[in-house]
Amino acid sequence: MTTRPLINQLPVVEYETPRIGRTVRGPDLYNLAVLANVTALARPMHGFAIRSVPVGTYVASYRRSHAAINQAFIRWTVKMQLPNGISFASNEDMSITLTITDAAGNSVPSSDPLIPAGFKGESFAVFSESANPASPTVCGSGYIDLDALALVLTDPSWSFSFAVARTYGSTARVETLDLRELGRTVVDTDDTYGVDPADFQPGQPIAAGTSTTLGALRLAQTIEGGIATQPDVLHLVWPNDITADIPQTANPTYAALLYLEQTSGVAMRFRVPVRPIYTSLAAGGTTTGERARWRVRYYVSGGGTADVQLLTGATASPYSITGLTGAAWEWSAWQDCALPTSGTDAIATLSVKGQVSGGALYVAGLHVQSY
Amino acid sequence: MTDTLGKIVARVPAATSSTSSLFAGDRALTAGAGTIFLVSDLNHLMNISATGPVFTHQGKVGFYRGAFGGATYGAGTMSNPPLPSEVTWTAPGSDPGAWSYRVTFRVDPYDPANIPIVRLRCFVVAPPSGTESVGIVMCVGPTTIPSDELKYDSAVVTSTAGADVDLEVQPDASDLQVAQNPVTLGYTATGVPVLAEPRAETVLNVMVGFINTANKNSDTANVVGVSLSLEIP
Repeated sequence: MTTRPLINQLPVVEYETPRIGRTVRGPDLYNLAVLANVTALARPMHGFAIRSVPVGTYVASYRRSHAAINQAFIRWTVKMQLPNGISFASNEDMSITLTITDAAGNSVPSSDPLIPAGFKGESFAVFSESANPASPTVCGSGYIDLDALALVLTDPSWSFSFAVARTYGSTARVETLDLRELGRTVVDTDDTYGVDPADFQPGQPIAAGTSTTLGALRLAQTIEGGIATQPDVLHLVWPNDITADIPQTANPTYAALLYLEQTSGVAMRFRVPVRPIYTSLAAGGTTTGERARWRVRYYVSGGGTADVQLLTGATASPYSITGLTGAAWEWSAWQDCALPTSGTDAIATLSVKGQVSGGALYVAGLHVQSY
Repeated sequence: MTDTLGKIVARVPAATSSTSSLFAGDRALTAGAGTIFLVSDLNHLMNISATGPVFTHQGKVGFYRGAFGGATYGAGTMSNPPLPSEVTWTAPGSDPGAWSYRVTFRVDPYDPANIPIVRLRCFVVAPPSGTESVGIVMCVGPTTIPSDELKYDSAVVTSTAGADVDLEVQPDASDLQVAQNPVTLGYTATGVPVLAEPRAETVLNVMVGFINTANKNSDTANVVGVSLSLEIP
């Protein structure tokens, strides 16, 4: 194992650096190794951001960028109501209890040492002065060891379940609830991705190594880590409560979901940029699109069977998840989809529709992820 | 950085044990492999890894709080285009008439010389009376205090049928906040927690606020399909 600090600076690499007839210099591949480490390790984008929620249970979908991203930052804040711009309300108390599960049924309860303080159901006093935009009350803030969690949560599809409670008062609600992966500051050759730039010293032969050890193959492997570090394109959360104003339909044919409408009867549109990976924007992109996957958190009442579809504008759109049943909250399996890069500025327009054979379909979570 | 094909060239995985693996031992590190597969791919990855969606939200149906200021709450005057100081930045949702977002995320250089643009996209429907306006303001900076001194962009929507809104701000280095913290993982009831890799990143705070000049809950406005993203500068 070799561990070195990650150089998070962008070297300029150019085609003409290595030249025919000139000695190959160490920095040629050294700079490439530095750049590969930055793209694979320093820039993860997975996580979620939940905003302005009252008491209830909220379940966020999360899937790690890749196995070499090993830490995440998690925090929640509360702001109080400022009734009329002048006077303050009284203090209130709130708490969050976090349970993390995976799609295989493994679970890490809030009492586990892996769950940071502030997410174990502790009650926090929310000060009335927090109505000032500058001073929200930070209730829980900590870091999560993704490697340690992965030893328990063996399935890669995780769920963060937040039970939000107001232990005193009547108006306070969670303002922000964020989880963000942190970039690495260390390159460790024991990890799946990360290349030691010192493998490419001046005057030494260019090492091939293997994809798990050192040298040029390890460099190519780390580039694959950069390709795997893709963003969450759409992440939405509602309370797991079928009596709340959450997306739902009783329509037997595909229709916009109530509470997920742009205007009456028209499905809400999300305009999001798509990273070109295997398609060049210089060629106008493609309607075939870039690879992505999506899943939905659902509940079907009345014994019906429900289907949901994601419309992306790609050639093969819509992408359907079918055969959803059961009067209990569950995540569906992941469904592959594609996001077109042919729009202006590679903007894809996403929307969701649903249908149910009987009873009603409810949705409490949507997650679309490039990968 | 124009020195790129603008995409990744597909090839066999590095772990493939065959002669099609371009970087295996004793293979010539040819100009093709050394330039297209490494230089172009990495330049492209460097750029696009700084871009992408950073926040999405379903929005708010039925907000009605007017501009900050004035003798009555929300009864201030909204400029066209509106200013950050005119948004009622009270606790979102706690005041049932107000709506705003505060989002903090990591920002990386797009290439050695540039920072990505921050862009807000949403769909806004003005109140049904047809006589009121909706103001949308996005400001960015190293602080979470919205003010007219920060970089901002804003727009006004008067259409009762609704309209797409696109706001954009080009941050510079002075807008970013350096976050460097020691990291302790999980929770320990006793003893000294073990330090992990430090957190070292530059983050940007983005505040998005909405104004409905009606300032009454019988003439409400909607904002839906909200996305914030980092895009090519």
